[in-house]
Amino acid sequence: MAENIYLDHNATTPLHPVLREHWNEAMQFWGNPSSIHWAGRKVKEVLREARRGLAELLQVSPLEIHFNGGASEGNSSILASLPLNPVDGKRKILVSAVEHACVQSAADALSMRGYEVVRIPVSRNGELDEKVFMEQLDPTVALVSIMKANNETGVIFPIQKWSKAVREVEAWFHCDAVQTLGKISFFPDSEGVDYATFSAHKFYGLKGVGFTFVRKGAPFQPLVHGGGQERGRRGGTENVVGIWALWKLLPYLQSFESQMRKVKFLRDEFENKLLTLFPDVKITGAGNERIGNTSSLMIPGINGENLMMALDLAGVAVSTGSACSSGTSEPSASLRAMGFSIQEAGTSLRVSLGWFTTDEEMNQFLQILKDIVVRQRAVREVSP
Amino acid sequence: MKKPRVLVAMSGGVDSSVAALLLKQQGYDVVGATMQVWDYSNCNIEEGSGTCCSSTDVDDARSVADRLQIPFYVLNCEEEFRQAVIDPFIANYLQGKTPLPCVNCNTFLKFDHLVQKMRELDCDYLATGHYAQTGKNVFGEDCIRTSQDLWKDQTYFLFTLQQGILQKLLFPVGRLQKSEVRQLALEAGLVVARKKDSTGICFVGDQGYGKFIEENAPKEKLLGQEGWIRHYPSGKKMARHQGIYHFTLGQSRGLGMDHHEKLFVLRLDVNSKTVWVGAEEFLFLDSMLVKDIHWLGVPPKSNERVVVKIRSTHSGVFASVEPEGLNQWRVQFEEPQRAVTPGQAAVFYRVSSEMEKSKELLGGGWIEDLPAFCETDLETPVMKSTNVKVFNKRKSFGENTRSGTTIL
Repeated sequence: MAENIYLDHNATTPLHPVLREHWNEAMQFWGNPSSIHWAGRKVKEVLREARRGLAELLQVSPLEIHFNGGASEGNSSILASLPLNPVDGKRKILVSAVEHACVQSAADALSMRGYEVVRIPVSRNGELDEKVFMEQLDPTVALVSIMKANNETGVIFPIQKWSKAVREVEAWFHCDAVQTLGKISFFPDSEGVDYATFSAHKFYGLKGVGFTFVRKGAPFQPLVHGGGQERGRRGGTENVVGIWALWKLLPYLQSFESQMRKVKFLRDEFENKLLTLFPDVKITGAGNERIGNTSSLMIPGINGENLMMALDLAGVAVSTGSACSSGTSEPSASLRAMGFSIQEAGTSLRVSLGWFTTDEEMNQFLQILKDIVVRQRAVREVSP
Repeated sequence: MKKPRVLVAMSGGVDSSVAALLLKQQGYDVVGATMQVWDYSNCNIEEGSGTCCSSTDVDDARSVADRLQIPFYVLNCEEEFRQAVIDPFIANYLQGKTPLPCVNCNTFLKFDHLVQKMRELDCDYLATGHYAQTGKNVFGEDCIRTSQDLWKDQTYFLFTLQQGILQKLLFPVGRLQKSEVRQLALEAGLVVARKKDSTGICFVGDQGYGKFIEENAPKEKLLGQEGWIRHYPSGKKMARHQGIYHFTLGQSRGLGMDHHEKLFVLRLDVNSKTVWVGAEEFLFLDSMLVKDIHWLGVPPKSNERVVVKIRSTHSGVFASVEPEGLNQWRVQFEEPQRAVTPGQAAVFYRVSSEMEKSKELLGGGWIEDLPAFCETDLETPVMKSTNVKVFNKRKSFGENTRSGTTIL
């Protein structure tokens, strides 16, 4: 077996080496940041500096950033911040059909409170159906939730193009920006959104910590009540070590572009070579603006689940879609929502590179992938 | 040199866990997989209570795989399972049969779906925790043999296997006694070492079959299932019932009737929706019809003495097998058999010598509907149907007991 190769960075990323290097430093931040004494003060500083740095990165005010347990929590709390029941006829929630499961199910929860959830279709190439979106966008819309970049295809939505129209109907605009930091720039102001959610483990930080941007004046209700932490927006003692790690990562997040140039080059090279080997492979979202690390493939004549398992046995980690907590794999929900059949979605494979992916790894991966696809196609031809 | 790679179907039970353990010890490159076949969140099965593959069982299998340091996958087979196992199960019950879903599960999931997985994952073998053995028969062909532990033997469920894949199959616990399997699990510190054996049908919980059918069958199929419980041979209408799928042949408990003799379910007549009950003696038949026999080995010659099992717990009886009509065989028992149940499998074994402990699995088929009781049969001391004889009452004949005479 080859050295392990990790190509599932949209699911989660390995910890950044800087964290390993400075791990001992984190050990001193055990105090409770709400304490007035020296132990608390020391930790409070970490929170303040991390918040200030992230605000600077997003070009917003530190008061608009609060830390939480990650993007699922962020998305859930934003959607749950709408009035308990629709007010002033504002009863529609517009979400794209390819939102992450946590947005979808948080929206469904709102439908139990009298809201109507409208899913805006997305084409097979990953574009939001603007016609339907504009038709649906009327003064009865309370909230629009559209992601910046899709976790499965990498396709980037032109959020800023739509924000004016959303503001005109006096709806709030939420953007799941979890696939942005470390891959593309994201500025809530220039995008024109009122809410945005982020998760540290998508960009080399720790799991269980994230942060949310809430524009000044936008309504927000805490999901977790507590002792007034995060200015009442998220109760519970802060995940100090996780926030410390975010702080440590700030310089790298600021200079992500040079890393991503390399990543995109490797991704494009991989796709070109793969298409030369297997001209019938389809790259979902190709031709659209995509984040540079993601390659969503459909490989006719294979079963994505079997391909993923065979790759795993060869030491390569990729995915067939959103990971499912039960450990089974389902055909990618995004691809299904984009109009692909179960059979088509069943041939999909998502490859997502990271900052530390090497040329050598990609070459090895291509060789392993080629061998397995050839073998599995042969087996399936004999006994389909 | 590359180690041979084997895919092990792990249910989370002790047998398949030890199968994986043994293969690992023997130096195979072991890959574990569990088929998630049924959404257990909707049913009342107490998790891990000794049924196959509930979600705690998936966790157990995963924990064993982690302990053995082997890769492990959960395969979502819910759709395949519904089509290949649940739907036919319900349809059979509604037709007055007592289905045997484990055979379909083996045929379409374990030894079809998983064989495909085995090939695609570049595995050389597929292993399961079945108590069975592979070997050669007297003709030098690959065959399946009964396990060393005769009490645990599971070859009854394997008769649909294709000859061509036998060389690819490994049954690592087939040469062990159950007690040895548990001992190995204990020694290796596997969490499942003391876990209860699976009994019953994995997807039917404590609620029982009737309730399961009512919850899972298409609603329109459940309409108009009521009918009469009638006494044989008097023909007397004794009570109404809510659907023949609540009854199993040979059942005597839960009939809810006061009668001077102990009553047993004798026939389930799907056309008239009649449940026939009567004395136990009428449960005995000296032959049966079996359809769709799949022969794994060389079929028995005319008049050849083979052993047949008519349910999984049956100890087996000597019989002969003769073709009778299209794709149908008449099986003549050497001794009359109690509760020959349509929908169950008739599984045949070849006995090469009386001394041989392990028997060759020859094949099997499905027990056909029994001859119906006719109105003209009623109130006559002997039934007219040729293959039904009347015997004096015999108790618990032919059931597998540890102390009783066991052919297999």
